Amino acid sequence: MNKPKEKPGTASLNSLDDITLFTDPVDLTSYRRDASSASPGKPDAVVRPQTTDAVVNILKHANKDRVPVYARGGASMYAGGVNPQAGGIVLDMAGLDRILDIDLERGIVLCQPGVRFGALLKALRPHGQTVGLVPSTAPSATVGGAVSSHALGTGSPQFQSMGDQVAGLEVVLANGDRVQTGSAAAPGTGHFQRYCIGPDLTGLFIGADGTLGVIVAVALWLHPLPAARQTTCYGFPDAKSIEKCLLDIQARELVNNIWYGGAYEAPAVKTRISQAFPDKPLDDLPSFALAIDFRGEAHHIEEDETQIAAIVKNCNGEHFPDFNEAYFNKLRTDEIYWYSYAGFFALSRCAILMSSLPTNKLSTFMTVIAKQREDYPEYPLGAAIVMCRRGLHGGVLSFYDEATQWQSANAAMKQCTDTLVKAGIVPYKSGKVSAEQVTGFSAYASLLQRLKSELDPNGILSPGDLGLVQKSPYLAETTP
Amino acid sequence: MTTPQEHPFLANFLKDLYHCSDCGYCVEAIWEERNIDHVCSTLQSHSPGLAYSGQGYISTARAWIEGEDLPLESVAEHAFTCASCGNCERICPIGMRPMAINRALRSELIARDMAPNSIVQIQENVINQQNPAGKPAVDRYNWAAGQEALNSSAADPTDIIYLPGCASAYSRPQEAQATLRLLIASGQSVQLLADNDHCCGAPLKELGFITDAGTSANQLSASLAQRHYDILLTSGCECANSLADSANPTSFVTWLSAALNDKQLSLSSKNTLPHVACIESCQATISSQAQSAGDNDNHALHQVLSGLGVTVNGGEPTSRYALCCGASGGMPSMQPASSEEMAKARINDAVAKANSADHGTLDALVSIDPRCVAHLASARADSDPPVYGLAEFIDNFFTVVTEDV
Ligand SMILES: Cc1cc2nc3c(=O)[nH]c(=O)nc-3n(C[C@H](O)[C@H](O)[C@H](O)COP(=O)(O)OP(=O)(O)OC[C@H]3O[C@@H](n4cnc5c(N)ncnc54)[C@H](O)[C@@H]3O)c2cc1C
Repeated sequence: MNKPKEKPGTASLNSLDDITLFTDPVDLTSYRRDASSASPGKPDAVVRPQTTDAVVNILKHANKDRVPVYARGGASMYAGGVNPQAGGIVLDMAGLDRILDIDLERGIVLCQPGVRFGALLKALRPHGQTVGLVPSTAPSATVGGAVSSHALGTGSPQFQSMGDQVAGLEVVLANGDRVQTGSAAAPGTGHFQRYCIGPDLTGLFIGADGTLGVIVAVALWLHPLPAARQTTCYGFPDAKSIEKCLLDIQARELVNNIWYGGAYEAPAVKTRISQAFPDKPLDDLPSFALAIDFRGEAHHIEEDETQIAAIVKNCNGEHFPDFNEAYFNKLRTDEIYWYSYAGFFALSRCAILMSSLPTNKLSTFMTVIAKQREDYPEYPLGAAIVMCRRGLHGGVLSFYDEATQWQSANAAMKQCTDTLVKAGIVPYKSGKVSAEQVTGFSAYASLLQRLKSELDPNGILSPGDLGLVQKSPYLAETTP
Repeated sequence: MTTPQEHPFLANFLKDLYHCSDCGYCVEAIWEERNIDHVCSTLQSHSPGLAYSGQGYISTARAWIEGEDLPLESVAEHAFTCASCGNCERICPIGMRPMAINRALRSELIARDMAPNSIVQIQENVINQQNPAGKPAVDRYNWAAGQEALNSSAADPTDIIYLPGCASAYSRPQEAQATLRLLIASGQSVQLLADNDHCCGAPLKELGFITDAGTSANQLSASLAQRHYDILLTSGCECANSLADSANPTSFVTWLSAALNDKQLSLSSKNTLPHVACIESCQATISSQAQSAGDNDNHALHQVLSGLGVTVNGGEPTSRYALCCGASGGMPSMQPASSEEMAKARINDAVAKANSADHGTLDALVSIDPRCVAHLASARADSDPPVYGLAEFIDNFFTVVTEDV
């Protein structure tokens, strides 16, 4: 039987340079969780490194003592990735917040992982540049967190997902080794090409929720700031029509000037319209709205809009200017970014489950949502559908009172995830909330576990995330 | 695990504690479109520990309500350190109230005798000397020595009663003096409360001494009730907030703006028109209920100065999310070094922005809040531009054109 090893103290962390260490219980209460409904954890210490060397030293120290380490950026993710369920150290990466280089010739910005998107966009604007993917929590979300959870949304029609915007990374492995990926793997070369030398090691760390290494620098591709922005909304009678329309737009690649595209279902449409126009009849409102935020050259937008309008018509849809006026353009002009976050209107936290689906499964996704509403009427549910270059992302947002409904809401969401998986729709941001489902993808999970064992043999990095076997770091090594 | 019913002091905040979405905007948000560089001055200048942030106060309160055994000395250190600027509440996209939660924590800690000594000292100062700094009560109107307004009789009606507020009266007498001069120059009759004046209770309210704050406010209201006046004018931004319900005060900037518009007062510049940066007062922003930027006294300051031809912030608008200069809340007494850091950071930021916008050197920093002015002035380096209250600034750079009055 394994004998519990004494919990290694965190006091010796004190001797490390360039860190801020918190061990006071009041300080620690703020580092227990992210925006998800996953159970929080209780860290033994929070360490905020100020340099990459400090990250190296912390990991060496933790690896030696087998202390779990949970990297944390803005902690705005809804998958529980940062929740320190095995205790140990929360590594607060937000102090590594320098933009290291803006290389306009290579078209790359190199930054530390704690840089907030808001700061990045502000620094790039004077250069007439921006980045491709911006999570809707841009003011607070960090680049490192977005890469580790492959963020999506604003930018996805043009660029698919955060990962596709990464030109290369620098990562510290569990034993403290520093690794550069992409072209920067060759000493003195820097980032200019991701797919070179050999297999794409950058991809190993994208969406890995900090389980395979801690990202200490991110190279992102730059894009010129768009000359124009414009929003347009369309209404559709049913899910099949909007599905067909989205398939057509994607197939014809009319996505190059779309910054954000989202589909909204009847309850959301009704609520927004009735709030904005209390006197309007609600009976003949469309069942679905497609809202598009264009950005690009004005004449390109105009051309694309004309073509999209024709597709819409062909799919039984029509312009829906009320929705644009009441809702979508308002969010856009206020730069609220939270296009799909129903919690913004409900003034509430919600349990969120993010999934990836092929566009031709949009109506299947809506059927699952309808069933979920039927099975769990006690949790008001919102569906958020986000357009990518190819495929869609489907969010399920369930409102609950955390004081009284936390556990049961999670059980309901678990059922929803299982149903979605059975329907061929996969979890997108897995963290801890979909960890169980990840382990069900056996060949994938087994390869992931083998990589994990190689890169982090003591299992100190984010134990519990992605369903990776949670070796309890406070236990002696298991004897076979 | 305890139940919320066992913690009535948090009973009004269950929605906040259990529905905060943890988006993290109250910790840090950088949002160019809204002119937000950072959110929490405490995290910027004191400690990056999240327990000092809005999210931190929500987490602590929730742990408390759920019966966790938290060391109350540490809860108190965190709760009373906050500068109470309100940015965390203003930025919350879903209307959560972390600052109010922190105030509830403070009140509960006070009820349990857990308030730190430096905070209790402020309470004693207000009770014993009627001002938070503990300066002798009898010195409150030293700045007005020789002024006729000081000797007014309560029975005489007057256009204006001028309440300088504790910060002006004791720490920035220049502002009180300059204000009085301008009021008199406008041709209006002015009275001072003199011996009947004292703290309005705002600093106590901010720190969670709700009962004592109410007592102070009532005493001041009782003094005012004996007077016959049209306008109650105050320099203190937090005094204006604290008296808002009982006495409907007018801020000096609001009065000045109206006086200039109505041509009760005309000003002409002494020299070339200066280039200034406005240091926003958090208290003035807190008082504004509306969501837009153009509705509070900081904005009014910008308008008044621009109207006088002064270059303000290089043309940039005032921010609703400016970082606190460190003068408010428990910050100055709990963490004097950090409080000074915050002031320096505000000054450096204003200077850097002026330089980067290439609008030439900054001639002055101006604020409508005497508490901020006194604090900034004490932290500024010799090479920094001078810091003025609005009335002082007018006094230094403009003359009153009497024939137009
Ligand atoms: C209201 C709301 C709206 C949202 N909208 C969107 C949206 O539009 N699109 C979207 O994609 N997401 C969205 N999110 C989720 C989240 O905000 C984003 O995914 C964001 O990019 C996460 O960044 P973060 O810094 O908060 O990451 P965190 O939550 O701190 O971390 C995310 C994961 O990355 C790991 N991690 C963090 N830093 C590092 C590092 N340096 N090295 C290794 N691992 C690390 C963490 O351990 C965790 O597993 C939303 C969340 C909320 C609350």
